[in-house]
Amino acid sequence: MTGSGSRIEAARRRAAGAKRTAVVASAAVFLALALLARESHHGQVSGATSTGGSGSSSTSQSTDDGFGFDSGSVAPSTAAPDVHSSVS
Amino acid sequence: MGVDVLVGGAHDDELNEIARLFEGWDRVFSRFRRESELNRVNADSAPVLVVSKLFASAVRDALGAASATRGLVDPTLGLAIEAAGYDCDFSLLADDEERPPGPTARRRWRALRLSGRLLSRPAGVRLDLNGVAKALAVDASLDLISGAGFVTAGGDVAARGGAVVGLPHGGSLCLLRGGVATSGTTHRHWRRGGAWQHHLLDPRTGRPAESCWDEVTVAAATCLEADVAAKAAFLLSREGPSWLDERGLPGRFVSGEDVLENRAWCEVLDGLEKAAA
Repeated sequence: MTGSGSRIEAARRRAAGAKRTAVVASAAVFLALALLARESHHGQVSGATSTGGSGSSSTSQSTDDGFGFDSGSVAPSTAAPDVHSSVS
Repeated sequence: MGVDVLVGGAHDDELNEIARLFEGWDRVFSRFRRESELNRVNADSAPVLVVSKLFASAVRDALGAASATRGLVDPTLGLAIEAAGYDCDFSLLADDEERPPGPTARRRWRALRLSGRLLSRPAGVRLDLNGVAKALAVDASLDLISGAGFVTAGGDVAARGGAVVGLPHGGSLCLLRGGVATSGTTHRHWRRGGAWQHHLLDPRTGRPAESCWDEVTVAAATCLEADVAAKAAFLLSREGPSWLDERGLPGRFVSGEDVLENRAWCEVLDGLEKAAA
């Protein structure tokens, strides 16, 4: 009987430990999802930097994503074109 | 990417790197390569995916462009462009008077989420990143050139140090730094079900856009910005010139034989002409 009782007690302890682990794991997953939801807005991004987008100091308008429009630098020319801008 | 690429000012090794860049990007973003990452992502039913760093970066820029244009340039119109009949390389696209366009697809860019390389999107959304990938590739290629130079792909141009860019319907400008892009319907169009189709979709309808312009050319700080702004200005039709002016972007609009330059275009070029005189 004593041996059987010990095994039952040990099983209860293991079950309680497993429950605690499950609760901690659930809490961690919930926390991770909450953080992801907070940082990652609809149609937007969080995290790394952009390869494109604005690259100049005189950006006239930009979004929260860092995308902006800047006029670049152009000058008049009457020389023969090196390249053509055309509809692709 | 199905376009000719012209490079100026690059050393041989830089030129080889640029060639590899375009080949690599085509393997990632092509709608017409079955094994491309874009097609793998579109075919995957998992709600959340880990995508490559390059793919995530392009999605990030596409979402930025969508936000900056209030959704006019939308990366979630993959189904809509296929519905319009653009389902193979343009060189292979044939008119089909019998088959009508497919059902439209709603724009869903606001439903996309990107966190690092984790991408989530609603079921059924098919991405089309070609609206930004080509311009990004042009900008990235210019970054591979150590000195002055230019890169052009399919009519999109990026330059540093000065390149003379010929414009649609004549004229030219000197691009000292940045990009020039032209959007329009004069080149890529086809017939489907008795109606003309083209690749510039209006995200509000999911159908090829109706615009009063044939072509819109924009100069900006990067090729990507110029390309996105040219598309948006085309889609905005009569409001396009003022939309560009509000952002300080020079734009040139062609409608038939008529050419209209917005205020920013006139101010920038006239001002420089006076300074040079």
